[in-house]
Amino acid sequence: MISNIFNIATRSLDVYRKALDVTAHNIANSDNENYSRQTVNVSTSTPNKIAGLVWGTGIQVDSVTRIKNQFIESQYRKNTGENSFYNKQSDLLSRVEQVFTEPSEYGLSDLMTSFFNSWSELAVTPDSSVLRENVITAAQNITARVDTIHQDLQTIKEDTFNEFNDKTQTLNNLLSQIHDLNVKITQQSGNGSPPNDLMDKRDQLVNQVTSIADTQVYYDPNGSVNISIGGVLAVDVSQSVKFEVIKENGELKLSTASGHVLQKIKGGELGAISDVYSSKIPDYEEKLDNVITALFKSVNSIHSSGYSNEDPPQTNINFFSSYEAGVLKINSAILDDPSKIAVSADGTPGNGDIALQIADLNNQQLINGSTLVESYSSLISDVGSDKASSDSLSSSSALVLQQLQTQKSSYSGVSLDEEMANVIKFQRSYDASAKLISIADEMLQTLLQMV
Amino acid sequence: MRITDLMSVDNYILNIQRTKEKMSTIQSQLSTQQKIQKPSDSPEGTGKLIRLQNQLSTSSGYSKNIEDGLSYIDVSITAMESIQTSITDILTSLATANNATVTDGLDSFADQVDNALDAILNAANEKFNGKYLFAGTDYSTKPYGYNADGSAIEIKASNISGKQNIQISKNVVQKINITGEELFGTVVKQSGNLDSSAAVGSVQTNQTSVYSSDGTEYTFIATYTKTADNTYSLSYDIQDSGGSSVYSTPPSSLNVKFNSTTGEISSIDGKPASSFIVEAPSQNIQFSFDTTKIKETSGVSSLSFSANQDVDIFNTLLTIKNKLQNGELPTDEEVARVENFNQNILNKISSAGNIVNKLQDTNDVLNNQQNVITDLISNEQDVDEAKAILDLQNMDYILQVTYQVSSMILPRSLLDYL
Repeated sequence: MISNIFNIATRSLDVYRKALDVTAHNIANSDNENYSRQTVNVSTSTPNKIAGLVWGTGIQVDSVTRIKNQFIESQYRKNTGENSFYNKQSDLLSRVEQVFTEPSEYGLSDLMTSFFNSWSELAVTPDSSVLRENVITAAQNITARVDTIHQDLQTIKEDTFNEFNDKTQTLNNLLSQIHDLNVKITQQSGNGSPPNDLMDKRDQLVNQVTSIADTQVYYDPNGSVNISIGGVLAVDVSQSVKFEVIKENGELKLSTASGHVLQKIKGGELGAISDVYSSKIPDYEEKLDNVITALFKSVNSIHSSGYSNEDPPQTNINFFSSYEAGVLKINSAILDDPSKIAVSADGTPGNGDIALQIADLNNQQLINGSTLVESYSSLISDVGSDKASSDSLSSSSALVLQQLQTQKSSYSGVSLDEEMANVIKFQRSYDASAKLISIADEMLQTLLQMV
Repeated sequence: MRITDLMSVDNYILNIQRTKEKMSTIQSQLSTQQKIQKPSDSPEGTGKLIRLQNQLSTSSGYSKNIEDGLSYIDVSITAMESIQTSITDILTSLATANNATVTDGLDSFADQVDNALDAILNAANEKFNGKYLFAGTDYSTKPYGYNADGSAIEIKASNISGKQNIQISKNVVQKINITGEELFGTVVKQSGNLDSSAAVGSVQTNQTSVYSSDGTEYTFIATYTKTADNTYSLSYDIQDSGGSSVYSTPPSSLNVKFNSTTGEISSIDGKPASSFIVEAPSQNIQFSFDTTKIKETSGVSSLSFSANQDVDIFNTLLTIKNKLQNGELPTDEEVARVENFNQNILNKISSAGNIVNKLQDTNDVLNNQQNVITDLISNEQDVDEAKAILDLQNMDYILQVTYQVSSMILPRSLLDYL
């Protein structure tokens, strides 16, 4: 029966060595935030029944499992998507916001005010060539600013389109990695021992996918994770989809290689990019267009009724020649010859009544009951509040995410104190088992000496 | 709750990050002295700021217009005062000449009148900032001068009645010139009604007396022929005492249109209605014809003429001078014309004074308004430095405590005691 002591002690040596292995693995990964701590599950090994009595046979390792709370994990995934949506939106909107350079003396509002002031000043001395040049300069400042704003918004749109493409590539790449892992994990799960580290790695990839697009994640009992995006199964154990970017009615969308167009992506970074590209920027452009079109039309309609400072005075001259695709152009005849600015109501060079009427446009409610500057200022308020609200939603979702990260960490993270206590505990048990072997050895010696 | 090492580290990093973000915001506010640097700092504040800035610069523009207007009207007043001084001198001379017992001494009075006339003519042609003060809106042409044979003084500009209007505050436009027409001009005004229900082709004719520069009487006839609804053709003629026209070719007729709802005159020859100059150079006849007060009313047809003077001050003085040179005293009627002009110029000086007052009052209001707006902008935009610095110090303290505590706690674990 002494050999039984050997058996029990050897087995327990083995168990505690394995336990120390797992502890070492935990300690090594204590700074890895995607790691879930692992524990060794042990149980008493099957007892022997000898001479009507049941004899214990010691301890055995059942499994090594990772400590993971699926509820927290799914909450975490959902908030990752939300947080990265608002982060990305805030990023892009901060670029849009800079385009308008408000509030500053370089902003369109100040330039428009200067423009109207220059007309009001011209009315004081309507035939002054200096004041006429001032009007032209003020108008050129506006056209240049409008042009820059328009071009900058286009550049941002192009950049966001490129980013949408890049993110889609990243998404495809992640999906293919998840597919690889799905295959490995389902194979290894078949052996009865869960591949914990591979599963951690896959969870990390799934989180990354969630931060790119809004997803439906389903953990299949066979060990595979199935993700669908925009109503299309993107990855499971048998395949991963490669998405392609398409533009449909000015909106950015994803389609599968077979040409199936996904529903609009609403979450994650792709959702934010598509929202800014298809909805926010066009909305701002339209509002700016309204302001500039009203300026263009109202200045022209008054200006064309006036008489130029020429001999003989000319009438029916437009001040702006065109406003198309965000480009406001001043009549080139006026640029060549400022005396073509028509501010006289009766053809005499000292009459500035038309200039007064144009200057008064500053006070006229030209767009739905508000003046040009008021209407423009509400556009800027819109840009600002869109950005401010995405900022605040971004930081509030970051707080929630941090909270969840803490819960996740609290549940699955490695505590060095705990691990060290385990090390000591396992070491003591290991020591004791070793001592048992030496005692069993002594017992055998004693018996042998009796022979 | 189970606390893991990563959790503590993450928490510290997050809190330090947050404190630093707040510090960075305050620091950039302090260094730029502006609370709002981009619209998202305060969307509603930015909108307000843009509107306030617009009001402020528009209001400053009005102030600038007022300054320009004030200097223009001030110079006009000075010129009118010098004219008025000359007129007073002439009236004194004429009174003296009337009392003089020796008629062969009238030459010296003629010289005095001549000098005064020159002075008045100079003042009437005075320029400020490139503009002839009394030339209306055709101010680049010298308005008054002798005609070719030197027998009369005539208007050289095409239109001396134009009003120079400037904007002095929201919805307030102010005339800043005294027009030549108001000051010196002979204005023949026609007022009353034309019958809007009259048939097309019907004719309305009226006549009045007009005078040449030397006081000879002529007859001015204006004829309105209805050509369409609310539209008339206006032709006119000047006839001498014998009833024959002074024109070899009659002046071309004008197209007069009325507003069909208000009945007011809307345009003359396609331009906004204003008075125009009627002249017969060989007879030295020149006056402004003002039809702008005529209205079109259904069933009423009555037109009448009125004139502010028979002969303008320049030609009256010229006649007086010539008479004095010939040893003749001016008639009472001629002296009355000078006195009449004296009264007119005093009226104009006073109305110019009213313009000055209005401009100054408006400027005071604008200045107040600008102060209020500047205060509002400052409320919206300026950083409360004391608060910002205190906040910054507080954050700095929090940051130091965080560093201190983390340096004490983070490296600790059971390991240190084994």
